[in-house]
Amino acid sequence: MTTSRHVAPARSAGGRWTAAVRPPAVAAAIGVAVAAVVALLRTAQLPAGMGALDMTMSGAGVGVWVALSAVPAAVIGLLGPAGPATAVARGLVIGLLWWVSWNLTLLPLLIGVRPGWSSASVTVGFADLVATLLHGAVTGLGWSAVAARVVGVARGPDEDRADLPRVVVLGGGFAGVAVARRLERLARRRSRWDVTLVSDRNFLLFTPMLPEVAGGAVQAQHVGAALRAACPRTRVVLGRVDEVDLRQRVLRVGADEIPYDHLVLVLGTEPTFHGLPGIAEHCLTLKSLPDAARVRAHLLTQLERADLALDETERRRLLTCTVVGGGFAGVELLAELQDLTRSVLRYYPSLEATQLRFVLVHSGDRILPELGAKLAQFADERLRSRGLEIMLGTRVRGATKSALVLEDGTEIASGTMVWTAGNQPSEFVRSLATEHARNGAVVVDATLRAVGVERVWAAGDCAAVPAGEGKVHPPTAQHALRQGRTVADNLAAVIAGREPQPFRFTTIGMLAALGHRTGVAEIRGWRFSGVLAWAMWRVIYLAKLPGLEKRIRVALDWLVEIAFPRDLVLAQEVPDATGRLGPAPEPSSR
Amino acid sequence: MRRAPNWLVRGAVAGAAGGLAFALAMLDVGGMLPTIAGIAGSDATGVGLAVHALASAAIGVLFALLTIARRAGPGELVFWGTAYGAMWWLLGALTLLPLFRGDPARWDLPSVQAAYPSLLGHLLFGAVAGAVLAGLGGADRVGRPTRAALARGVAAGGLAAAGMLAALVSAGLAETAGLGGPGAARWPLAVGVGGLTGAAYATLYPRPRGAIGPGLIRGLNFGFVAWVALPMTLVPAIAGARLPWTLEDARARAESLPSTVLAGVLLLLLYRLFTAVAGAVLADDPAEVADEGVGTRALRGLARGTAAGLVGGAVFTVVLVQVGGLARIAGLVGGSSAGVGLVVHLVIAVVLGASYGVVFRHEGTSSEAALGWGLSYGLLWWLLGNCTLLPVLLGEPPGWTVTGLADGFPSLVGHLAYGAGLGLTLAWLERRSNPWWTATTPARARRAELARARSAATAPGLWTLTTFIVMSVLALAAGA
Repeated sequence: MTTSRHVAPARSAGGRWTAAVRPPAVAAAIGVAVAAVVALLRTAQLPAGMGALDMTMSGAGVGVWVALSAVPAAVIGLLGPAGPATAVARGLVIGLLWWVSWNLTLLPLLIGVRPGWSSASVTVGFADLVATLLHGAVTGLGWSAVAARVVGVARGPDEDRADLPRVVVLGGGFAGVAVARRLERLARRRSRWDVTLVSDRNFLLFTPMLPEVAGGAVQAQHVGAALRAACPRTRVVLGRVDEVDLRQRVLRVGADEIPYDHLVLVLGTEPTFHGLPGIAEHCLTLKSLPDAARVRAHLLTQLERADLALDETERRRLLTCTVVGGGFAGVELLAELQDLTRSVLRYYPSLEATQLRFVLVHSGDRILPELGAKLAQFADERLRSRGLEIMLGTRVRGATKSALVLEDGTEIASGTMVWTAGNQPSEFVRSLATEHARNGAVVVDATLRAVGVERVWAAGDCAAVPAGEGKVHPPTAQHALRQGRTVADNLAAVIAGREPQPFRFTTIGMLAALGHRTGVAEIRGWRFSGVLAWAMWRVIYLAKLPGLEKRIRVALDWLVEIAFPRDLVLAQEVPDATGRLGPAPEPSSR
Repeated sequence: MRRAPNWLVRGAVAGAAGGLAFALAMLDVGGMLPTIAGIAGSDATGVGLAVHALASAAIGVLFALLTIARRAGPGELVFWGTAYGAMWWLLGALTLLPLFRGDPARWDLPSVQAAYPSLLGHLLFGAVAGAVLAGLGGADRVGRPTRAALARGVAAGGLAAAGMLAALVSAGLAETAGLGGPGAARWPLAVGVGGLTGAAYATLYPRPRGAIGPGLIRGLNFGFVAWVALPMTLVPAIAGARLPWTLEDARARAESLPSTVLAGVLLLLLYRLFTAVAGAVLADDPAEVADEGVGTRALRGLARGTAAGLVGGAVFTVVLVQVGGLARIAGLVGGSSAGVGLVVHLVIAVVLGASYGVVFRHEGTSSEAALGWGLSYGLLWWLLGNCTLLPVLLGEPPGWTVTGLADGFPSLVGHLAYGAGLGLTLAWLERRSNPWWTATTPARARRAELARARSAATAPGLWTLTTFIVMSVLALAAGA
C-alpha cells in the first residue's frame, strides 16, 4: 500500500524561527563572555594617548565593545557547527574582517573621522586587532564545543531521503528534462523531493536538428545531451515502462517496481501510419537518432547501388527520394537530403544530377501549414525552383518495397521513402486509464493535471493541453519546455499545500530551414525569408542546444561544412530488397 | 585510518624539535630566554631554556592531540604548525607571559613590534614542529616523492628563486633583501636554495591534486614559511651573521617578505605546470588525467567569477574613492582621471574575479570556505598586484620596502574586502546551480562528505596562516 507523502512534515513558523535564531544567539552569548575577559585584559594595559579612536576602551566604551563583539560571534554561530580547528580558523577570519569593517571603517565614520586605513590607523587600532583575533579564535573554540548540542544533528549530504515525496517522470524529452531540471532548481537549498526520470534512451534529443543529422550536416551524437549531465541530481532509469498501476501508484520497468507519489507523463509521440499497408514495413521514419542515421545510410547506399546499376529504370528508382508529409520535419528533411546528395554526387561519376528526383507528398493544400500563407508560398517556390517536386492535395494509399502508392493508384518508384505524416501518443499512453483526446493524448486541465485521476500530470506532445476556445496547444518543443516547467512549479505548489497555476503561453515563433542557405521564419508576427531566415534558424537553434559543449561541436560541424563536402562514409550497411547488404555485386552480363 | 598510540611521544619530540630551533635562534637574538625564565621567578638564561623546553614539549603534545583526528598531509601539518605557533605567540607571548610576570597583556603596536623576534620564533617553532610531526608519521600518508617529482620540484624552486632574484636585482633591492653574498655568488646561491626549497615542497606534496586555487594559497603560505626559515633564519645563520629578527633588522630587509612569498606562489605554479605536462605527456593511466574537462570547468567558472568580480570590485571601489587611489590606477593606461581609473579598476576586478571563478571552482563549500579563500586570494593579489605589478607598470620599483608596504595598507584593506565579496558571491552563485550537499544516492553523499572532510582537514590551516601573514605584515610595517 502506498502512503501519501506529498505533504512535508509540519514545522511551525515559531519552531523554524527558533531553530534559525538559536545558533547565532548562543554563539553571541559565548562571544560576549569571551569579550568580557578580553576587555579586562585590554583595560589593564591601556596605553596613554591613543587619541579619539580609543573610545571603545574608555569607560562605557568597554561595554559597547563587549556588546558589539556579539556581532562577529553571531556570524561564527550562523555558519553552523565545526570542529575545533575549523572553528578557530573561522573565528580568526571573521575577526580580521570584523576589525577591518568595524574598527578601521565604521567606527571612524561614527565618530566623524574619515577612514583612511592608513599606517596611522593601523597603529592606533593594532591592539584591537589582537583583541579581535583572540576573541574570534576563543569564541570559535567555545562554539565548536557546544555547536552539536545547539544545532542538533547536521543535515549533511547523507540525510535520509526515505520520507521525501517521490516524483517519477516518464520520458526524457524536452518536457521531461524541463520538469526534472526545474525540480532540481526548486530544491537546490535542501532536498524537498525524490525525483526519478525513466527514459528509453539516456539522452535528450534535440529533435529540430534531426533533418540535419539525416543530411549529414551535423554528427548524430552532437544533437543529444546526456540526461545524467543535464539532470545531475535526478535518478535516471534507462528503460521502458511496462505497466503502471494508477491506484496503487506503482509502475514497473523491467523487473523493477518504482512507487511514486506523483507521476508525470511526458512520453511524446511516435509515428502513426494510419493503418496504411506497407508503410511501416517499407518506409523510414524520423523520430530518433537511429532513424536519422538510418535515413542517411539508406540514401548513401542507394547512391552506391545506383552507381553500379545498369538498368536505367532501376537507377532512376534508386535515385528517387520521396518524403510523405509537408510539415516542418518533412520539408526540412527533403531539403537536407537534396543538399547531401548534391554535395557527394561528384564521387559517383556515373550518376548525373538530372537523374536525381526528390518528391514531397502532402495531403494539404500548402506545405508548412503552421506558418503563414505567404511564407509557405515562398518556401514552396524556392523548393520547386531547386528541382524538388511537391505534390499537394495528394494522399498515400500504401507502399511496396520499391514504390510509394498514391490514393489514385499512381506509383512513385522510390529507392528512399520516408514517412513524416503523422504522430500520435504511444500505445502505452493510449492504454492508460485516464481521459484521452481523439488522437490518444492525455486530457489535462489548465494546470496540467490529468483529468479524472489523482497525482498524475502530463505535458508535451502526449498531452492535450487546453488553450482556450476548445483548442489545444500545438505539439512543439517550445510548448513542451514551458509545460514541463509549469508542471514542476505546480508540483512544488501542491506538495507545499498551495494552489497550482494554469499554463499560459503564446507561440513565440516558427522557423524552418529549406537547405542551401535558405529558410523561412515567423517570430511574433514578423516574417523573414531567405538567407537571413536561414541564419536566424542556425543561431536560434544553436543557442537552444542543451549544453555549451554541444553548441561548440555543432558550430564546428557547420564550420567544417563551409569548406568541405559532406561526409559519405557509410558507417552502417542497409540490406537491399533481397536482404543483401552493401552494393549489388557486378552482374556477369557486364 | 591512522593509528595514534604514539601521539604523545610524537608530539613531545616535535615540540622539542621546534623548541630547540626557537631556542637556538633566541640565543642569537638574545633577551628572550631571561624573559621566559621570569615565569619561574628567575631571569637566568639556563632557567629560561629549561622552561622553554618543557613548554615546547607540552605545546607539541597539544598540537599532536589537536591534529590526531585530522586527515592532514605533511604539507598541511607544516602550515597548521606554523599557524599554531602564531596562535601561541598571540596567546602566550603577548598575553599569558606578561600576565604571569605580573605585567599587562602586550597588544599595543609598540609592544607587539618589540615582540617581533618572538613572532618569528613562534612561527619557526610551529613550522619545525609540524614538519617533525609529519616526519614521525603524524600525518596522512602521501607516499614518498618519486625522483621525477623531486626533479620537478627542484626545477620549479630553482626557477622561482631565479625569478625572485631577478626581480630584486632589477629593482636594486637584492642587497637589502638579505640574499647574502656578492653579485656573482648570489645567483647560484639563490638557485641552489630555491632548488632545495622546491625539493622540500615536492616532498610535502609529491602528487599535487585538486583545484589550482587552493594550490596558489598553499604556495603563498609556503612562501611565508620559507621566508621565516630561509632569509630570516637559515641563510644568515649559515653566513655567520646575526639573525635579523628585531623589528629594525626585519624592516631593513622587508623586501624579502613579499618577494619570498611571491616566489612561493611561483614555485607552486611551476611545479603544478611541470606535473601537469608530465601527466599529460607521460602518464599511462587515464585515471591520472581523467576529469570533467577544462571546457566544462573553465567556462562556467569564468562566467560566475566575472559576476563575483564585479561585486568585489564594487566593494573595493568604496575604499579607492575614499583614499583617492583611482587616479593612480588610471596611470596604467596613461590617464589620470578618477573616471578612467574606475573603469580600469573594474576591468581588473572582473578579470581577477573570472580567474578566481576558474581556479576556485566548487571550493566554496561553506560560507567560511568562501570567506577564507576569498580573503587569501585578496592578500595574494595585494602582494602581486598593488605591491608589485602596479608600481612596476607605472615605472616605479616594486613597493616591497617597509615604506611601500605601509603605504599599501589602504589597498590591503580594499583587497581583503574585495576577496571577501568575491568569495561569498561566487559561493552563492555556485550554490544556485550545484549544491553539492543535495546528493541523490548514498554513494554520491559519501563522495560529497569525503570531499568536504578532505577540504576541512586542510583548508582552515591555510586560512589561519593567511590571517597571520596579514598580521605579520601589519606589525612589520605599521608606523614606518
